[in-house]
Amino acid sequence: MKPWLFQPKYTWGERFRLFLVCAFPVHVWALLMAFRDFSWVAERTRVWDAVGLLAYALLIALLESVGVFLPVLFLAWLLPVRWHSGQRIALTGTLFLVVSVWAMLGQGYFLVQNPLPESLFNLLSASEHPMRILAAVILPLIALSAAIPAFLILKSRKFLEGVLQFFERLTLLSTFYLLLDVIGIVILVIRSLTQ
Amino acid sequence: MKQPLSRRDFLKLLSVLPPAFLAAPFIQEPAAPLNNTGAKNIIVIVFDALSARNVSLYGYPRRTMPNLERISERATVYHQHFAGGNFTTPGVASLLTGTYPWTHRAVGPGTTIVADRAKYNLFHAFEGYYRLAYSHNNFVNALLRQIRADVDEIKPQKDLFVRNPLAFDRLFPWDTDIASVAWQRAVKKGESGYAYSLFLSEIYGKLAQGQMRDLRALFPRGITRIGEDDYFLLEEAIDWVVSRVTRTPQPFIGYFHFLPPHRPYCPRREYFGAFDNDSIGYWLDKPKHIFNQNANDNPVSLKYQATQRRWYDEFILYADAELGRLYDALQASGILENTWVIFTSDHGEMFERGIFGHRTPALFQPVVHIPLVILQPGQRQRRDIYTSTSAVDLLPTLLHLTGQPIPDWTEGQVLPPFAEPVPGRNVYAVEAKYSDPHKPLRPVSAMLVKENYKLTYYAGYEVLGNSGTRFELYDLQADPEELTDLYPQQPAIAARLQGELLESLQRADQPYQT
Repeated sequence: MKPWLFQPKYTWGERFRLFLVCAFPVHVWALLMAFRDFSWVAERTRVWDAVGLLAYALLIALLESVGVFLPVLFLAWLLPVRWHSGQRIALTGTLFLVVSVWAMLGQGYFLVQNPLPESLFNLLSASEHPMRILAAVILPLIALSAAIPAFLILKSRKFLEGVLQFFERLTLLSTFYLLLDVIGIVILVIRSLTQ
Repeated sequence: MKQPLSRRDFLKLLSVLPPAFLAAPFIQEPAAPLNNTGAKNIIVIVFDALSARNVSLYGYPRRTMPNLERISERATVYHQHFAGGNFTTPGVASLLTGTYPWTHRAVGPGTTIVADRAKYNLFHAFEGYYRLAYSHNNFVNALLRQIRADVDEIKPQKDLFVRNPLAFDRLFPWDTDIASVAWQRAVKKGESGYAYSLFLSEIYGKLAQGQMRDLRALFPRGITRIGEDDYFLLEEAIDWVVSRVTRTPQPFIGYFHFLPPHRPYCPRREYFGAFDNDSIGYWLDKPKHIFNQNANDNPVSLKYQATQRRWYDEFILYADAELGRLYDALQASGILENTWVIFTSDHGEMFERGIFGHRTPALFQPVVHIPLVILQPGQRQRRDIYTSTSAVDLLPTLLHLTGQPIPDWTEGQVLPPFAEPVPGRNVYAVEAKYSDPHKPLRPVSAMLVKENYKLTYYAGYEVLGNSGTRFELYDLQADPEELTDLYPQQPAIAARLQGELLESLQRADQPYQT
């Protein structure tokens, strides 16, 4: 029997599903941001350049998806095998999605004009350590937002099934994004050949 | 019988690859000359946004360029030299094509030269030479890429950047513009706080901060950079030029465009605070101009003006030290005995009238009056030229100096003392960054310098009511600081210059009339 370290814990299909879950938020954010720049680029140069920008954004998103998938897979690999693979995939995938949502909120903060009420902003500015106060508020929120779904996945069969069904739909969309990635790469090859 | 390549052999072959890559930079270029015609080499050195008004060689009271003063003792110094426009794209395009912006039409930031003019350029004119170029500035690289068929070697801009850990945009050498924009927008959150990438941008930011820590100590006001975080060291660029030109097949023509002293003003520690305690201050409190960037509600203080000027001057001092190092290295290599060296800028910078930098429609002297110093091989005595000259004169002058015919498409003239100056000559500068280059230029700023007088024309700007125009007339000899607008007082001179300027502009716009 193979030692624990080398025991296969996931099928290729399960790994791919986890990859698609990781690819989803990365692509959604990249496309949202790139489309914000589309008209800006098209106005200054031409539409073909703006299409090129989208293609580069997709390529970077694909590379980033692979980059984040590897540590997520490692995390999934560390989970105890007494939880069945569906539970482990749901757990790691959900944790990644929660982290992604917080990352989006972190960047989205800068996209919104005047996101903090002035009174709150003044209160923070007046304190000696505004960053520490922010961290003290946000870190427990992040921990809670990760712990609650993790607990429910492990304890509630219904919730787990719901998560896995959600992943089914998510992975379908992610497959579509991967198709867009391929089209993006073709566009980049054409651009490089025709410049 | 021939043995098939075994797996072991294949692996052995693979092991040769890394040393081959390592050795590649040292075995690239041939050391032998291209030909033995005895033709002189040409080196054009451009410091970006260097206003002659802040250069001590031209009488500025702060000793900003002691090395240029030293170099000029064996060179020809031009005291009334003008850029083609007031920012990089038109300024460099004028230098490269020998035509004014209204002709080459590279008038917007990052735009290129109209196709039928691009084929006539400085590099094309020196076909028999080895032609190489490097620029820190993106706008210059856009122009160089346009004429790349005429250049043997364009050093990629980012090759001389300090940090390029992932080098994504270098994977797409034929699409660098959009690849660079995409890379910038994808991973560099910078001041905007967001990027296309959710996680990579975070890692990249941390990595960058860590790598830059040592350099930050050397540059108290920030490391020299382009945009938010494309860092570079002028020292590295200078070292590269020295090592490259001394190994280049001769004759060669090299165009080297360095960003300092362009904003942000980030001198090295030795030059930081160099002018802190002198008495120059804000220089002169000139009246606010209509293109004053701060309108009326938030007037720029004289203190701010003084600070900006001082920081700019410190940055010039730093750039000058590197210029001196370049000159000394070239002299030590012996290449100066056989090489024309041209030192100039693409446009200036201003700190007066409520206008800071060069993003302005205005064409006051600080943004268009630039240095020009020409080192002739073997020259031992300084020569001073006081007649008005233009960036468009460089191309015909270099052709003349290398014994080639002057083409009829250039709008420039051979510079004195290499030819007799043309009496009553007109020198122009044009600014039209918000115009469509394929239509008559509006809004537009145009300048005509003739003898002592300088007429400036502004048209089509919102502040002038869009259809309004404005003329200003200055006597540059009696009033070099342009304090007294003579337009209402000298109607005869104003009318004569106005007629000439508008006729030239109209003639240039003629092919673009719908």
